[in-house]
Amino acid sequence: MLVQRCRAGDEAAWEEIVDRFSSYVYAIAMRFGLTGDRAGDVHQDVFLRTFTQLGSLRDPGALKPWIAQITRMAAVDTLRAQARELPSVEADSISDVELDLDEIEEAMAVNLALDELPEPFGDALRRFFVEDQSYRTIGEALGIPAGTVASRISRGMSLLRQLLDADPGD
Amino acid sequence: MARAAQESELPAIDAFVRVVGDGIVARGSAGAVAGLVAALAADLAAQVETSSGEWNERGGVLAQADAIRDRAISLVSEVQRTYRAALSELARARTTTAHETSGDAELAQALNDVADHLVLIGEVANDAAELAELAARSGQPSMRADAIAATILAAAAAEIATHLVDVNLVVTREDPRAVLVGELQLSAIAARNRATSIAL
Repeated sequence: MLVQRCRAGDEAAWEEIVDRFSSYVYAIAMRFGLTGDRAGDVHQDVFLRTFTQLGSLRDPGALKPWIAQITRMAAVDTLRAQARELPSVEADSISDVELDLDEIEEAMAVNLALDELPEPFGDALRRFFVEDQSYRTIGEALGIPAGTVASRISRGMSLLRQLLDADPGD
Repeated sequence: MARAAQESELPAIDAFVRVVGDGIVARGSAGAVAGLVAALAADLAAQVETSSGEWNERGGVLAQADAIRDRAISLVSEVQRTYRAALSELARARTTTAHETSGDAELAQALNDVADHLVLIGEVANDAAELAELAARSGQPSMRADAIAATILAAAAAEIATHLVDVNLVVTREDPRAVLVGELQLSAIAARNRATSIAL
């Protein structure tokens, strides 16, 4: 539906595609060791290719793996260009880059599910697992005793699992 | 057969115990040892299954224990780095004359870096103690002794961190880091005491 709307010139649909897959594209680029401006270049390149080649996508339901494939090609192109600029980057090693897209997709799904968790569970999980905050710091921020933070996070993990089981993603 | 298995384990155990003496962990870096102890405590807590036996309950404790252990291991490396830098600056200070004070700032910075990382060790040790106490309370009774042992290890790590901050040359008694690491120590000890008061 999203793809068809986009093909029909619906700008909002295109913005939704960019919004939905931006983090995904960055995550794949980072798995290739690309950060900062280079990851930004890949991001720009991927969505340019996606926009111009969207008409060639036969199965609109395969948008996500298609974008993943475009991202891998863009990342390899960037690494090859980098290898030409910097002799220390061995072009041969580029083909050895192994991507675990399942892992990235799982991380993305967890990230989305965290947003859906009721507070303060989502906040507690983010602070502990993403920001590496201690129980004490989390307890102070959330106004709960530090001694109960661990059990709160456990409860949040339980809710997170329920969300992920209910919605396995695309 | 069992004897052979035991003998095959000995080199690994020996290597683990010798990490300090052999210089894998910086010689004399008690802060790094405290980090290792905190990591061990978290690992022990990870092995304690919670009472329900369902993934959701057990997973919450396991995931936190893994995160705490990884942080502790990472801190061991960081503490070693700062400790080696401080030793280097101390050695330089000993060889300079009274008129050559340009290295004083570097030495003070190196000692401050050590203190900062020791506070982080105190934090991770307290987290390990809190989590192990949760495991002792809600985990399987058959594993409770292990969870309590984890709280004891974690509290010891917090105590080591506090002691090392207290004796750090640039940390005064009023220094916020001394206050914070002291509170973390008390918190870890309280978790240990709550855990040990649970009937086995």
